[in-house]
Amino acid sequence: MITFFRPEFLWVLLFVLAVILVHLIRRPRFTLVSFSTLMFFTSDAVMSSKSRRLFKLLQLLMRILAIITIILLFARPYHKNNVLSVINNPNTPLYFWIDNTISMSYVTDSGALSDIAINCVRKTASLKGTNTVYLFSNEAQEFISVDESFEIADKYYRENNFHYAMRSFLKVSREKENAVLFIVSDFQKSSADFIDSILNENDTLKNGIVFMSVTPQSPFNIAIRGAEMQNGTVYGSLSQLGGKKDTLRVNCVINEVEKGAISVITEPDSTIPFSIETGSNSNAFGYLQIKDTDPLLFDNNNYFTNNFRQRKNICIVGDTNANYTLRAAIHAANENTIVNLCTERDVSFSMIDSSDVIILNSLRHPCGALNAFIMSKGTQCKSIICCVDPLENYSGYYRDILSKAFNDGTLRLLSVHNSKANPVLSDTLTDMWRKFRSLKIDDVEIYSYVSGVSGTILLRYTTNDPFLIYKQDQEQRDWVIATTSLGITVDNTLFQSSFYLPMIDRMLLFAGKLKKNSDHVWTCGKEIKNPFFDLRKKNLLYNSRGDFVENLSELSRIYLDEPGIYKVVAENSDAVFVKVQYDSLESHLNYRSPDNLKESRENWYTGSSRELMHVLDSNNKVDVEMLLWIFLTLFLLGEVVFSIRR
Amino acid sequence: MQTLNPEHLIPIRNLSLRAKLIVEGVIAGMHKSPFHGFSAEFLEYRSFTAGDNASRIDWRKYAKSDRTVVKLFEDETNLFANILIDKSGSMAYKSSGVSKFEYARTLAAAIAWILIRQRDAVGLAVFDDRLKTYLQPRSTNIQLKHILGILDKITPLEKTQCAAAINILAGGIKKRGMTVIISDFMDNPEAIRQGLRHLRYKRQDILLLQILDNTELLFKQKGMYKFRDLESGVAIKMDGQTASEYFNKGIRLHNSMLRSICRELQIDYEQICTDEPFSKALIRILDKREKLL
Repeated sequence: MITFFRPEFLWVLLFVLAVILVHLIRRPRFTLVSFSTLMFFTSDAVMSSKSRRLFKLLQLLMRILAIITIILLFARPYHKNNVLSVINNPNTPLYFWIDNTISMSYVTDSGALSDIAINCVRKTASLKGTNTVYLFSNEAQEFISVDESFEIADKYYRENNFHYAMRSFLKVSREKENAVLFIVSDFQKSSADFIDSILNENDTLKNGIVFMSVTPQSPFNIAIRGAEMQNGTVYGSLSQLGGKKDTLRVNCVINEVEKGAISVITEPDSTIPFSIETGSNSNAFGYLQIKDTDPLLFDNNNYFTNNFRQRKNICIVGDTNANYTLRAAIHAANENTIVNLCTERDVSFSMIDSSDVIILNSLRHPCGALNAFIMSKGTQCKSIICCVDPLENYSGYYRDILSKAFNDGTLRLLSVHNSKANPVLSDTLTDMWRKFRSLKIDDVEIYSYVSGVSGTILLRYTTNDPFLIYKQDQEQRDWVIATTSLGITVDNTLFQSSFYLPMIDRMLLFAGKLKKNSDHVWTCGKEIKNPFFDLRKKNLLYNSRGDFVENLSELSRIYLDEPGIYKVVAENSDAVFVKVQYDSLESHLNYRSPDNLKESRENWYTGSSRELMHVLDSNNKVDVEMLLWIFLTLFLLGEVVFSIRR
Repeated sequence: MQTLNPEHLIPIRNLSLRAKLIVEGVIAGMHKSPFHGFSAEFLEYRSFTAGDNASRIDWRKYAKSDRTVVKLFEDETNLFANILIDKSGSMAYKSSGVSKFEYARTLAAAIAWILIRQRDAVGLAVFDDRLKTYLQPRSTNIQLKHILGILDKITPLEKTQCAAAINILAGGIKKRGMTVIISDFMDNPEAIRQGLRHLRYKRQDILLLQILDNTELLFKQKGMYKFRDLESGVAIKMDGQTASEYFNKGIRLHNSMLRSICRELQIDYEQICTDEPFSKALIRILDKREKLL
């Protein structure tokens, strides 16, 4: 659809049309003249007159069209759905989001990708004026005028925040229908996937979107990955993407002292493992460093520590008196595990959300935070151990939770068995119980349990009813459902038996293995779930320079901007070292063309920064206007031809 | 010499008076009596008028009747002239002021007046597509009255066919004499040539007076026109520019052909525009044709 940047000029068109109309109404009519003779007006003369009249009409038409074309050119038409036309409108506000991921630090001949992106914004602002060009501020999390946001945007590498940019742009688009969003990115696969998912979620957006690519030509990168120390030897691998065969020198630095070095011969698109003997003790920490430089620097260092083990954060929700034995059993199995014991009324959503495993046992009241967690999205990395209480008064709470989690109404009708039973370990079940000393546990007596829950059976009773069941809910969370209560209870003698401790240990191991949430590398520039949150002891975080950063006990999630070895110091405990690195995915330079974005629309445009700058620089030489210029030239040419012919 | 423009004279409805005014103006300006010639064969008496030779007064008649008269004799008339006037539709054309026909008949009346005054025999033929009226040449005053009467009555109509009319007239002429043809000659030049040759064969001294409107001499129009032929009533639509180009080119060629025919047949040719004063046109004719005087 064609529309105009300066529609006010179309009023002139009306005036011209009125003049033409008057001309046509008042155009010379045939005047009747009685003449002495027509002997000289031959048929040739009549034909000549007709052709002359035709030429005059054509000439008039040419002039009218030329005038109309000139007026249209003044009105500056553009294709409404063509975003390239739209962005040339001086009144069109342009909103730039610059990819803030670390891969934008890739240095090309023209500078870092982020610098190229910022220069594009600067140039656009200089061409269009700063009052219509906005840049997403990573600090303010909203779009602000370019002159204010340039300094903030400079070199700010964090987790991809396109979703915040989109949220802010959606607010803007409600007021400014013609606003255009510029997505300036190198379109690494991870970024492109993220952008794609956000755009798919907002598929009702009508505004134009320009995908401005700053992807480097022939990307080249070398990176060190997987540094770890074992018995005084540091292991790692050197990856090279692109480039040519080369010999690279890798240093091993421990406590800021170079402890060893090695030359590694690399080849394009290969990963070469290597090891460096350091002679240091096994508690050392440090980093491997490539001495040579490459376009992407952040991955040239890779940190290692060997005494940090990620603590598992477990939250037990229920009657605390009944759950003491459960906490004791967990602590006995793994002393590093953090266990929070909360009643249904005390527990908060953040406490549940920051835990790796949630145990529901001896629920005595309905729990709002738990219900909210069950219904929340993005919690698929959690494992839940649900110990269903067969007591009539309390089983209803479990039924509600299970029916909500699995969206299955039949779970409300769990039947209660009050007959005596023993758990049976079968070889045919999972390897959860493999190498366990006995297949039947005689000292455990189950007096009451529920049945009717379907799923993978991990353990059975002698009655053949399931004791432990594994099941995944609709949010992809893993559930281990025990059909009887754990802890201090009258339903069974589990807590009094020797089976209790190993069973709890294996249940937790099983739940922990299901999700890879025990990665001991923290990613800088990204939000990290804090495993030290809500501990009674203070856990103070210090960076590699020894500066205090945060009290980890007070924050459920933390941001760390710089990579390095961080130290967590807890009261009356040994210090724990944590290695913090940039997301390794950012150094893979696996670019994906934004052309592949699904459901690409008419008002979406993809191009390199150079192409788009050319469009902006060409100052309105867009398709419709070019067409008008061609028409105008033709009309004027026609006018000249007719004039000569006359 | 006082010049009277056609538009001043035409409102005078009396053709005789118009002719008299023209002729007297012309004669007075020439300072020379046009009257000469003498013969023994008496024809009639005529009142003595100023300018008559006093020696020609019939004193005997004066003695009897106390009137000064002069005798006219038959042999005094030494020229037989025919005036051929075109009354076709095209002659009715006028762009402004005087139509070609009005001019032509006033001129014819003046010429007849002069000829009668100098005792030449004058006849009149009126034609359009054929010869309509013919008056045998006579030199009497009554002849002048007849001529003026006929000229007064005719109106322009019908198509032009000069050649046919001239041929018919030529067939009736027996004496040697003079023929004055007054027309716009909007006819086929070849046909005109045939008729004129016939007249020349009849020993006629011919004077062609082509009367044209000033727009016909130089057609200059702009705008869109529907031209209707005054003779046939046929109309064509044409723009002024094309019409000007074709008409001017056509009329120039036509006139040059007429001149060529006249040169070839030794015929005197005068082109007169309707906005030219009668006296000037007449003097031009008389200067060229001293024979008339």
